[in-house]
Amino acid sequence: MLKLENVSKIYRTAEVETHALGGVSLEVEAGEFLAIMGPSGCGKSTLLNILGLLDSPDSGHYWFFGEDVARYSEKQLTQLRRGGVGFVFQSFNLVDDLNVRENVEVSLLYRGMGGAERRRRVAAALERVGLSHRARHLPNQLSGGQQQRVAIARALVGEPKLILADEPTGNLDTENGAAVMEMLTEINRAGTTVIMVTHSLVHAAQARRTVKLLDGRVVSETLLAA
Amino acid sequence: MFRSALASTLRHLLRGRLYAAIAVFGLAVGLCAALLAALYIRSQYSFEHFIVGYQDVYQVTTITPEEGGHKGYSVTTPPQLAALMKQRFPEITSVSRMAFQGGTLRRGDLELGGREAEDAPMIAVDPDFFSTVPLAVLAGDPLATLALPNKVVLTREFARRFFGEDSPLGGTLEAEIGGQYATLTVGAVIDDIPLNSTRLFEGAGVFVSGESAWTRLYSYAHPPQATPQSRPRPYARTLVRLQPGSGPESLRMGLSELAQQLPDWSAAEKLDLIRIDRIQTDPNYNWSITTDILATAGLALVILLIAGVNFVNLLTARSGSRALEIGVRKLSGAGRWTLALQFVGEAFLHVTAAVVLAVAMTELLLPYVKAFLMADAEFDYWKEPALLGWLLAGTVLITLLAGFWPAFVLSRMSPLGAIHGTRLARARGGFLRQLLVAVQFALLVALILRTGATYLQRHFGMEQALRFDTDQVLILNTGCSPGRMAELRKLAGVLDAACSLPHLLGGEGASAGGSYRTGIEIRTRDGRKLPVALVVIDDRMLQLYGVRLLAGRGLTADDFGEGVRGRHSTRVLINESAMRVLGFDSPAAALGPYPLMEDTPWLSEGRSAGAGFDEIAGVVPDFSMAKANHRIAPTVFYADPQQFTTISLKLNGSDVPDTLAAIKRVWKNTRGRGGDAPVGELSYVFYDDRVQRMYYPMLAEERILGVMSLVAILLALLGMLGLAASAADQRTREIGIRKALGATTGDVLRLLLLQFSRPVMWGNLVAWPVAGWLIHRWLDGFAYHIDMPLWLFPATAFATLLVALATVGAHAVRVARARPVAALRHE
Repeated sequence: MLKLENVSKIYRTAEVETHALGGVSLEVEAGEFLAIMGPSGCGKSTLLNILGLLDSPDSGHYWFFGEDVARYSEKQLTQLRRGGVGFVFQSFNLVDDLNVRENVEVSLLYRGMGGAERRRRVAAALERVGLSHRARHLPNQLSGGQQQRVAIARALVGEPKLILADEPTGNLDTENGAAVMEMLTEINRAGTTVIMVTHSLVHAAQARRTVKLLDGRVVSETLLAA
Repeated sequence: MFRSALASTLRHLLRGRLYAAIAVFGLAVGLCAALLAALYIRSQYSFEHFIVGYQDVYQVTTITPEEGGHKGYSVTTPPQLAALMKQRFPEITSVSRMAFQGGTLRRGDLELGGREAEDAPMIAVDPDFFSTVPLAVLAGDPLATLALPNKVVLTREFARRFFGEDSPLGGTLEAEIGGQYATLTVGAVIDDIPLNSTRLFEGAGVFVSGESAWTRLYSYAHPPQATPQSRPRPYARTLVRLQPGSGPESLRMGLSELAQQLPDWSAAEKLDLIRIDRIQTDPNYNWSITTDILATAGLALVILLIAGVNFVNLLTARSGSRALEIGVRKLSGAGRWTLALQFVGEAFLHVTAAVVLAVAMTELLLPYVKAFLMADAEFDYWKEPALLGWLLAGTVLITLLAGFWPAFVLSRMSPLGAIHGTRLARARGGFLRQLLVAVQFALLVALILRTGATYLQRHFGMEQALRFDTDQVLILNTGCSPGRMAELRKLAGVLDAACSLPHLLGGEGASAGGSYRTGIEIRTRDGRKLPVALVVIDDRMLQLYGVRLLAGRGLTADDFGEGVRGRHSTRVLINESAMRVLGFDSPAAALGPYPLMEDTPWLSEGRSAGAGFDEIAGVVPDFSMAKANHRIAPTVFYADPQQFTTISLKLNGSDVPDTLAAIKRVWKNTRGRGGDAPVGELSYVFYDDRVQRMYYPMLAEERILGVMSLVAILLALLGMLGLAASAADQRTREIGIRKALGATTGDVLRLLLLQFSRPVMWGNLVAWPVAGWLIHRWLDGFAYHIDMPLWLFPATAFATLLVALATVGAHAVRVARARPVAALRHE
């Protein structure tokens, strides 16, 4: 369903060329839970950005649910991303000036969805992450774990086909981290493709497959017998 | 979508209320300045619009050729013209004359006229005046009133001043004009004449029938039999009303032909027409109007620019902190224009608040500005849909201008950049912000320098450029009999008394030359003839004003005194300028016999001609007889007791009211004995007041500049605060790293203050040459001016820097003292 074919990405400054990705080929099945691991600077984030339609490869092909999007314009990517991809970040990235409900709603705002439908979906998503009672709180009134749960609600409220999580447990303690992993696993079980970048072997073990990156290349793939 | 954007915007504003308030307040101040300026300028273009059908009313003007190819424009015309025009042009529906009428008006204890500074409130007008210039009638019938002699129409203001009521029909006033007395009866009251009509009525509000025998208008038509035609050419203002829609062209053509029929009319003079509402804005009739309007618009623009820069600055400094929100919204599929719209909307909220505040401030300040500028600006936006429309249009325009940059920059960020690489975007904004603050300070510095130069030049003009002592000098506009002078000198409070024509600053006849222009020429040593100014003085005049001779002796009793009645002195004093144009190298060389003029036929009529100026008795330094912007003319001083019209008194300064009363008593007792007519009241003025009045326009300019400078300082400091806030935000991490690596609070503080000083210093460097050039050009317009005050430049730099650093100092200290851990955790 997601297919990368010989994808390269080079970052250039005036003096330095950095080969962030050097010919990565990777296939991800619909409904898969994939973990990406690797040391800092190995190209994990670049890979995630390309998979999430935030960035385009310099060469190679990327089939996103059947469409080759490698040469898509920013506008085309925006349209595809709208409702197609959900994001969860290590640092939560909630908007300080919006309350919990409004933060979750942002995912639905740019899709031309009716207000009633939006409210219904936001309520359902908050219910799913167990934060219905905090709907009117501002992010700074929540704990880190709660904030990440809001971020997960925001990612899944649009019912995307793909959720990308960039070290979702990196800023959380063990207990909250486990809860978040629990949630992601459950979302995956319900049929959503989840790709997660992590440094934690324990959390990676919850994915069905783990891909290891080094210097912009895939060096190993481990398939866990689920 | 809208609700979400509004929610985040409002909470963002609320969280940063201080900054939002600063941004809104700053912009409101700028807008208020612009509004006031626009209203003032608009009022200049609305003169006489209160007159019904003003579009068809014209004033006849006279254009006279002057030396150097210049033309003199005057709104006075020969009084015979009106009747001739009425006959000649069928398109004229009515033509009326008006002539300002001196004298005093009295009712009970209240008396108007008299003191020199006071406007004579009377105008004599033709009976049909109010059909040419219809004004709103409150009581009575103005046309019927003016048909009869000694009947008057009052404006409501004068009705209230004299009678304390709005329709004192049948009430009477006592008039005293050049020794004649008349009782005037009120026949009608009209509405007050608005301030934006000074060009036509010049503050007068008592319209007296031109049928009254004592008025100038009457005397033109009925010249007294006994004496020959009076010397000054008769004049009146002539107003015509044309049939609606018929332009002035055919009239203009016919006027030159008509002029040939006028007595005393020279072929070089031309008659012309100007629509009454355009006199105010025509530089030929109101020479300072172009400068006034340009300066007002320019100043307002500068203030608005500073305020606008400040606003954009604060808005972007604050919206930079919203990069995350942009990123999140973009990740959710928000398009670029959707986000741009959100930020433009945010700007719109700010601008709307600022406009509302500015409107309130304008309403509050308008009365003061009106009083200050003596202009009648109206701000009735609820009655004037167009004005309201302009306010709305302005709001939208400023929103687009101010909201465009933040909307453009912020909405362009890639979602990745917004979430991860925000530092880059903010750093770039930081440079622009520094640039904008530098621009603000450049404008501010230029304003301060210009204000400083105006202040210094005004004081120079009022004190040094005069070069004579005006302290405690009182001027009486009255004749100068020896008996009166002797009695005045005897008074306890009077140190000295002297006579002249005119007084040393020039009288009403003073024109651009610096004293009164006589058209009289002296012969230079190489045979050329050059125009000079003539001033008639007595033997004590120069001494009274503390003027010391450079060479020779002053005029003595030999030249002036009872013994020489009927004859003027042939010995004269000249000033340095005259000495130079005559061709002498030194004052001493100029002394002695010299045939300046063989005879002086223009002097006192009926006396023996043939007496010329044939000896230079002394040379005096140049001293200004007018404003410092006029070059001092070559001047000849001589004595002619027949011509004295002015007494200068040096007072000792104690018990001035008593002394004034004593002077008035002496004047009354000696009335009619000194050759002067027993005119109503003594007209007097303190010399310093006169100098003050002469420099009043410059003082007004200085005050406006000063106020604008203060506003600019305030705004620039607000901008500085914005810069400090954003800079601290930007550099927290850097400060953390520096401190972690061992930098002390002092090191960091120095770093921050240096950063804040940079835009101020750049602003100064940019402003100096520009302001220097402008000041140089401005000073060049003065014949006598200060040197370029170079010390003002570093002083301004120091002052702006000091104030700027004081503003951000507290902020910088707080940021610099933060613990490195807190700073590092910031990102």
